[in-house]
Amino acid sequence: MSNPFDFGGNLMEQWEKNMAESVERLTKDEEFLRNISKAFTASLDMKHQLETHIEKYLKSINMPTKGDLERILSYLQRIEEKLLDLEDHIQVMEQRSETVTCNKPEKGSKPAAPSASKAPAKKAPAKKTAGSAKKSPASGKKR
Amino acid sequence: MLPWRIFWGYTDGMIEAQTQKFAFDGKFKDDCARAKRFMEYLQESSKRGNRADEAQLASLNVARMPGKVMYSEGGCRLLEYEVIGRPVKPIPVLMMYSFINRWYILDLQPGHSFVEALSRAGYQVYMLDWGIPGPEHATLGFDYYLEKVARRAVQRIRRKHKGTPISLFGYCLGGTLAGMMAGLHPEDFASQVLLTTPLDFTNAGILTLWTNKEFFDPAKIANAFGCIPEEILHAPFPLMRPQDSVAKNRVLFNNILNDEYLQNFKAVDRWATDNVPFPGQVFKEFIADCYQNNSLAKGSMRVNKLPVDLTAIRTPTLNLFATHDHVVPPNTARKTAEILVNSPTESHEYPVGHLTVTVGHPIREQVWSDTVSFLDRVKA
Repeated sequence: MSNPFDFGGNLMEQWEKNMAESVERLTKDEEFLRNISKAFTASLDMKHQLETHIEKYLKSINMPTKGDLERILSYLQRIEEKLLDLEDHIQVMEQRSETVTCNKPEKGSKPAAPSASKAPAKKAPAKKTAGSAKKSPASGKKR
Repeated sequence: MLPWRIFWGYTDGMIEAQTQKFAFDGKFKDDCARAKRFMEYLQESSKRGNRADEAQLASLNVARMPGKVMYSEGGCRLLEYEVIGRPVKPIPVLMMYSFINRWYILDLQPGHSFVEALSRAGYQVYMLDWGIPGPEHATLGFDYYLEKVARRAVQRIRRKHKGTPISLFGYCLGGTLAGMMAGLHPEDFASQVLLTTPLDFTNAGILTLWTNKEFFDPAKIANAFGCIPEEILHAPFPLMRPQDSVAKNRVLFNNILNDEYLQNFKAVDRWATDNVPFPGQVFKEFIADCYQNNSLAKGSMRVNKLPVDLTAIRTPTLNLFATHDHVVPPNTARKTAEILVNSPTESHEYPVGHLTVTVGHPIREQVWSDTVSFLDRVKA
């Protein structure tokens, strides 16, 4: 007797072939795409209507809406951006001051040769990060 | 009784008895073992949830390259990996991944990791992880992601490496982002590696048809959802090449007794189903500027009021693409060399598909080797 798995496998392969052909035909049919798009657009309009009503209701009972929370989060995002900008400025200033210190001639010594100005600046102090405390795979989720 | 209970309930002795009773061939026993393992896999995968956390990635041995978070901004992180190989090469590499799915496809498993391959070759590798966008990121476009986040990452890496221009690596849409970055600030980069990357979007496969202006309005979708939910964004992907999607389980069934195959499949499947929302404003800009108007290739795209000028790129580019790629067809990828008129472009075509070029053995090893060989020739 033949293996029933072979029979199932053949049946599956045939189904796959027919299914793939039908789906491929549909997804390349502009008329089908147009109709799908219309249906999707209508559902988006409905979603918008629903959300407008919910927002009105939440406002009427003095509750924060999704938009209010988004505004607060965006505000925090802008603050974080400014802090990082400041951090960047400090790093640049530190590097510059270290370069100047390195190039400053010691008391009583001859002025440094021009090539001395090319001495590499010291590295800026490493910034402490959550992952920097110990070596770990650089994975993990943020949220 | 559910069908898979049959296989769980069957002992080896019972299978042997059935084989003799019905005079099945010897393959029947193997198929029973396959079926049992397949059902176990389905049950296991149904429990894993929509998004992978660190514990799950660790259990799958995924994203294991040692490194640390250099800094984070919003949901984005700049990952800094350890350099394994010696001597350490002078030009660091910044890898940029797409907004679709997550970055760890480039650091899949030990021995199967692009990051590891570059690190073993002596390159200091950084990875820009766009994170998991939330509602607060819905209105942030390329102005923010490229000119703020990516630019800051580039500047910090350059500062750390005494001002050395860096090599930029981009995969898929990440490559398009890398191209945009290089077009915006060519002075920051020593070279670009573009892996299955579209820069010219005319006739760029089925996605060009699906995003046709006539029946696809990205602004309407973005305005309705804020960030485009992963369920909406990923629903059409299996339909891009339906034969692959429907055959996936059969191919798994046939190979499920191969432990190495199964381990690799689990990791890739986890990545493929670990979807993230797409920032709404970026979605609008990307579809309109790239797929619908082809502004990037035409040179009319602007980010933060600055022109994205691909002709300004004069440093060498490595263009890697796949012959059977259904997401970025080879015709689209080949055009990169024509668009980057002032960049000496080296192209390599591999006879595989979009994902196989990154994770499929033995092509991936060839891709790593070609990339390292190119990077070794780049001068600061």
